[in-house]
Amino acid sequence: MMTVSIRNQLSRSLIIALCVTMGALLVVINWGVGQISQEYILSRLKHDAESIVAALEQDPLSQSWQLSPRGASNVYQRALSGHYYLLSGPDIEIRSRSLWDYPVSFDRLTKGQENSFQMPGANDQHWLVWQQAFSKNDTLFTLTIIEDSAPLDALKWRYTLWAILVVALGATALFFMQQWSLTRNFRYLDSVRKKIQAFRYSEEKPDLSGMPSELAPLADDIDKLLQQLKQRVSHSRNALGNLAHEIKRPLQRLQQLQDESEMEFGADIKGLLNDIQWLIQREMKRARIVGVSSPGRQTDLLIDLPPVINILGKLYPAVRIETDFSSEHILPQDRDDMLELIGNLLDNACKYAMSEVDLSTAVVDNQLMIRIRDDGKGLPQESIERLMLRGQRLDEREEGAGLGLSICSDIVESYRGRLTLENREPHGIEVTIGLPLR
Amino acid sequence: MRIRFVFLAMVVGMINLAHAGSDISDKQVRAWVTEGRILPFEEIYARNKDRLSGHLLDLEIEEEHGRIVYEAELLDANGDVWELYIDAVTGEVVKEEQDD
Repeated sequence: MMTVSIRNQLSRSLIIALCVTMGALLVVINWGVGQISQEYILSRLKHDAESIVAALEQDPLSQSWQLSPRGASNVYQRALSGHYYLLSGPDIEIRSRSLWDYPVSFDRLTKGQENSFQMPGANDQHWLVWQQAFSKNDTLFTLTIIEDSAPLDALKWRYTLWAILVVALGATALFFMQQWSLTRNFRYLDSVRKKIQAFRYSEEKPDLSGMPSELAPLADDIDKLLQQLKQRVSHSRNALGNLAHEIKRPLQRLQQLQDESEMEFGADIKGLLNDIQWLIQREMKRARIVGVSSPGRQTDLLIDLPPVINILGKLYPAVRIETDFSSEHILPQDRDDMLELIGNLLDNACKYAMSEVDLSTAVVDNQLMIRIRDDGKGLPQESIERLMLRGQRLDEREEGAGLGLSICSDIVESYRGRLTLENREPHGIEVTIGLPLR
Repeated sequence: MRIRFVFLAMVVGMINLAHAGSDISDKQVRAWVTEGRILPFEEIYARNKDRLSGHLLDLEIEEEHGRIVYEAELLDANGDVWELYIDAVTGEVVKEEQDD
């Protein structure tokens, strides 16, 4: 299907409208100027005709017809002047001297008849001809008066050319004004797009007011849609989180019961329970990934982390948690994921620490580095290697530690990051998370 | 004999010169064109279009030493009035001079 472009459609209709109206305007100008000049010449020719009719007289003695010298103006005397007359009666033809030797003859008219037409004339002239038949002393004459309209025709075309120029400039200006106005109005759509993009990284509802009235309903709908999307995402997250949470205890209890009792299919049941736990984990991970692409929220460690530290402080009163977010405290990653990740790691660190846990962030090579250190006893190298394999529990009695680390690995992987665990000198563990920034 | 011929020619020439002052009518011109004695002016105009392209003021025709010559009065673009003499039989420009 062809994509519909409002700009192209509007441009096309404007161009068509401009071509039609401007073309019509040019035709009217050309025709009108021609008509005016022709009418002007004809009115002059009619005046000259009256003078010639008046000057035509019959010699009382010879009965021959002649024009009295005062009859016509001097322009009819100068050869090829562009003003001519030809008077034809019975057995007589009086030509103006200006006609010189130019061979010309016209049809005679009947009495009272008038006629006008154009024809090519002597010396590249354009002749405008006016004819009239009249009778004097019962003798019928046809008077033909001619004027060269070439100079006026040239003038007409000059004005038409000017009109074409003006019309072309005007049409071009109109076209560019329309384009400019379209660009200016489409900029509102760009701003809507930017605001919606911005919404993906913050929880602030975009302000879509100030739109042109034509776009207001669209902005309104987008607003509602975003609201709905946000609600749905949080609903499904909550539902999944609740389910995972609720199912955790029965599962643990089942595992305990299975451990305690000697059952026939003990190994199978244990495997199945592990599968169920893995499935829950996988679905939760999926939900998180969905959360990232839907309107999520960035993490501000200065705001979001203190409640977590508060709880941990109460759980582990002997441990002091030191934080250093001087290099970066706003993380573009989803808040829930980050809190789960950092919370789990902090929880583990507190469990093993003697007195102090250290949390700091840094940006290195376009990577966000989160470092958590404790001052505990540390772990044997083989335990570290084992821990890095998913789902391995280090300490059976302190349940949840292994699962916690496994969830952490999943979250880090979902952001294409890296999680490393190592012993530090003189003692303690250092966990480093590297998350690529966009 | 030779002297008498020259004298005769001079007399005829004088008559011709006297005649040259008076205007040969357009009727006469038309008659000459019809007889084929001189070229129609349309033809002369076509041949000398570039020289006659200024504003043609008037035409006169003269018979000088048995030669029929057009005297065209022209106003050029600079505002100068010129007289152009054109042989009415051959259509060639005979001479060109600025009017005093």
